[in-house]
Amino acid sequence: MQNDKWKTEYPLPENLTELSSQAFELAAAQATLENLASVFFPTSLANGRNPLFDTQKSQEQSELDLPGVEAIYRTLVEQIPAVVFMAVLDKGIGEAYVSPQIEELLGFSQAEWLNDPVRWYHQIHPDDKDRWSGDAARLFLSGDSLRSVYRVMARDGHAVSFHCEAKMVRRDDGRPWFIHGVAFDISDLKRAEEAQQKSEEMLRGLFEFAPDTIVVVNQQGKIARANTQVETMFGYTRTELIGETIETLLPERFRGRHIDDRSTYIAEPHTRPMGAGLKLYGRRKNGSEFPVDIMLSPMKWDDGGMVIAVIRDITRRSQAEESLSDYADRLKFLSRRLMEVQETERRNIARELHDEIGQALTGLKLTLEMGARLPADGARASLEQAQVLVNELMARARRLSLDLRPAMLDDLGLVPTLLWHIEHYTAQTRVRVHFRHSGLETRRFSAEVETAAYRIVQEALTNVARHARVVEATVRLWTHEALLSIQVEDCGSGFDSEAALASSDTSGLAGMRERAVLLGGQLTVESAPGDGTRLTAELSIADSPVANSGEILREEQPG
Amino acid sequence: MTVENTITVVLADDHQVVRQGLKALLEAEPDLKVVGEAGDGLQAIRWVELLSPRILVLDLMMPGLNGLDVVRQLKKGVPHTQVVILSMYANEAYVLEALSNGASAYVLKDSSSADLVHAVREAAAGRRYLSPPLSDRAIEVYQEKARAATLDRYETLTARERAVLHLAAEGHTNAEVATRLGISARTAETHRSNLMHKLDLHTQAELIRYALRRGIVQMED
Repeated sequence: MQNDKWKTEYPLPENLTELSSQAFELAAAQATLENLASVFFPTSLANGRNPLFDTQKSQEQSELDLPGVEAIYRTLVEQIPAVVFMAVLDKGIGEAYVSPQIEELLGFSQAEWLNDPVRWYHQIHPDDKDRWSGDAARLFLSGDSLRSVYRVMARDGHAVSFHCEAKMVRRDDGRPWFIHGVAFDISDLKRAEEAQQKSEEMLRGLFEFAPDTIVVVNQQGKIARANTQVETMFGYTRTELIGETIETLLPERFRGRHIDDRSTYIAEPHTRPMGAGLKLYGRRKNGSEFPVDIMLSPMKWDDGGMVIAVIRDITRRSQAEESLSDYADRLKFLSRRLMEVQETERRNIARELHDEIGQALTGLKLTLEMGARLPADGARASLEQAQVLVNELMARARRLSLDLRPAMLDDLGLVPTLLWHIEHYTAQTRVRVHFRHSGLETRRFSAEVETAAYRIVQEALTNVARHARVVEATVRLWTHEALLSIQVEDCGSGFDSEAALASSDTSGLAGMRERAVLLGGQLTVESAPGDGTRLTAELSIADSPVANSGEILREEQPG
Repeated sequence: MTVENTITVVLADDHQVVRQGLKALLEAEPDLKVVGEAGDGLQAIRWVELLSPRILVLDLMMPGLNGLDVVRQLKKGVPHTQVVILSMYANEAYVLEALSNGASAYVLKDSSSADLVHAVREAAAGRRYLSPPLSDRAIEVYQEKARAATLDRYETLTARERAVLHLAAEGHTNAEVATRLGISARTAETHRSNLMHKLDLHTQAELIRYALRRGIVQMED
């Protein structure tokens, strides 16, 4: 019965059925154990007798009557961290053996495992069944030992990977006698392998999808590996690059030197940024260049050293750095200019106070002293003279104060102040100014905007008087949406506007530009030698209050 | 001199020396009486509200609330008090601002003392007074000057924008304009949109109409 069931449920290959149908003789336990012993204790058998064999007898007398030895080996096979199995080929499955560790590993007791002759076949992972059948057939037919890994399903359904080593033993006349073998639970090993595979995948992912280009170069300077970024950054496919020299990715003018540098690096490799302090460039397939940052790192590979180069496109960073350094230069220039201007202003004020006011005061003092010494009717003339001096003094003080900063700008706003300024300007320079404006008649802007606009007109008109050699100029102011535009135009001698904007001359263009930029605007100068000048400044007035009139808050009580 | 004929005056100037001088000057006149003195704008308002004088002689430039602000506030609350502005600025813009805020007289600080007394009397009589050389005529002239001149937007265009306007009005595309002027098509487009913005034009048709009206391009027959 058992044999029949075994045959139907365990589909052995055709020729194998033939073999198993042969009348194999009962395997002697002694022989089996001898065989096992040859695996585990080859020397003890070589010596013929182990004293243990004689002294200890098995409690359960087997029909083969090998008590002591069986007990010893049973202990042995039941203690090793593996499942030992055996099956006599010409006997029923009842003669098979599996060591009890099976229970710990798969959840089936030794008895359960042995009592169901096909359980073990059922428990093989479905995907591994065919392979097992083929391997077993080879074992039976050729006698080659079996060595493979199979997954076996435990009672609770989880798969346990076993590394199996099995051998077939023949009788003296060559007939197959029995098979025996060992199965090691290698699930942990398998899991470790899988984990390693995952980690390798992750590393590959890191390499492939890193935001920077990574190129691995061998000692000959040939590209051994590269990640996908190289394709987007340089425009080559990887196939085109593998095996090419790294210089392919450099502008031609750097190639020669790079070959030398590369040899130096190979001789003494260490992690470092490439070309410290130098500007490095990459070259795309289409010949265009872009600034890069490169980190180099040595790496051990199978056949010696490799160099990892991590390349980053720093176009945007370079641009930012450039504009930053440009800005820093401008700032430095302006700070210096600011100090100069401040000094000049102070010198002028000091001189005016001394020359104009001081002298007039001295004159006044003398006049009054003289008047005090004169008789009453003569004093009158002195007082009249003093009055004239005082009026002059007042006029000078007023002019001085206005020149510094017209209070009118705060009191009345841009248009009255510009009208006043232009009037004075014309009186002083003989340059007639056409003043046109729209959109700001009674409108007030923030103090910054009004000051900037006033100063820009003032500075531009000063330039016209100084350089343009004209008798006429036009000033235009207009608002459009959130911008206040200021334009000062003349038909005079003109100049190279770009050079003037760039240079640190005293025309004040840089200062005007800075005023405009600070207020979210810009300054454009259109000029060419002999072609007049048109200066346009735009100031943002988005935040400026609109009206002049309105309640004056009375909260700020003095005291 | 009867009480009814006496002109009460409050003086407001942040310099005490000036106030003293002014007081002496005004009180030398039998019909003028200084009833209060203020050192700043707020104090001036308080005195005027309290004393309701016939005249406030007010310095234009004072710390805190300046003279212009004081007039503006007083004219709402104490219309009975006439304000005589005392200023060092002969500038019409200031005069205009002071008068339009409700001042009755504008006297220059460097004019003669007789001028101030005259101004006070004129103001008390409900008449306007301006120190020479100020005059209504000068103010009119100023007003005319300050009026928003009709600004020709075309003048605000840059030379490039004018060139682009000309070519665009002739029907050239941005690419053609770019080629003609030796600039990039993108720059040409920027110029075109800037100039349309400046001239408040929104369509190509408007642009052409504008160019024809201005004679920038001629109508082809």
